[in-house]
Amino acid sequence: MKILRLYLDKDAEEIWLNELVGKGWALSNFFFGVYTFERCEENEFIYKIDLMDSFSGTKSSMDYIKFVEETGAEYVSSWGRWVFFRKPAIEGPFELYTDVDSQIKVYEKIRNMLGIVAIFEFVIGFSQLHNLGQYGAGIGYYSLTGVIFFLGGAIGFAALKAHHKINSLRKQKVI
Amino acid sequence: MNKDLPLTEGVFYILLALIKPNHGYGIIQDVEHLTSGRLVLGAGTLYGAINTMLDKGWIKLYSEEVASRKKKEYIITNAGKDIMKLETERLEELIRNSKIALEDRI
Repeated sequence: MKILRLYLDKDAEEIWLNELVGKGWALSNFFFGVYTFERCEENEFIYKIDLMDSFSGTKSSMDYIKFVEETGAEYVSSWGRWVFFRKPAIEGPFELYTDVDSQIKVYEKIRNMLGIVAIFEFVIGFSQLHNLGQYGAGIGYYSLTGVIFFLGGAIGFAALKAHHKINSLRKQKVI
Repeated sequence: MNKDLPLTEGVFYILLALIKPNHGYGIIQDVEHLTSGRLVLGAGTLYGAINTMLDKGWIKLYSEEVASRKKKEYIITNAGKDIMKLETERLEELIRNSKIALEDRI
């Protein structure tokens, strides 16, 4: 079974993947928004998503994946810097980050990555607007510019959510 | 006081688990056992902590046999043992003062 979805929130995505495991569907592959599922037993696995420091395929990311696998988790799929792991649910709770400091680092990584993409979208959007203002164009061009700004806004909003998450985690630290 | 102190619980226990050569899974098991299940380290947290401690020179790579697919093992260094001793002294001071202060109330 394949499902096409765009997730900008890792936590919501994890909840969705685990909900599907509850219905007997286990993620087997992810590529560019296309999630591929295989049949499994209800609640057989717990899925976790992580953002690595470098792209999958690099030595550093393969090193990280190997390390996580050695702790008993199973590598499912990766795309860009995103990686999906799972563990059989009968083995107990599955968490990759178990203290506040390392959790904060993950959301900082996510926020920074999303922030850069959002800024990039706005830069492209404004340069498109500039071109339109100078030369004019057909409706397709205007629509494309609109989509770019919309994406920039959505991604920027997601970066802001990650930032709020960081702040609430920081509050847990202060006595 | 040493600017690296106080150590977090996780770092302290990881160093402890590396007094002898150990690998990722072994460290998680040992720490869970030593804390009676209270501290179960996540793989992501442990990976980050190991890299930080390698940078600080508190631990070093003990063995890595890529060909035989054996797990990477790490071990504490003398610098790591020194920092553990300092932290233990700090904790002993806390316990000493805590016991005195609480006994006054009985």
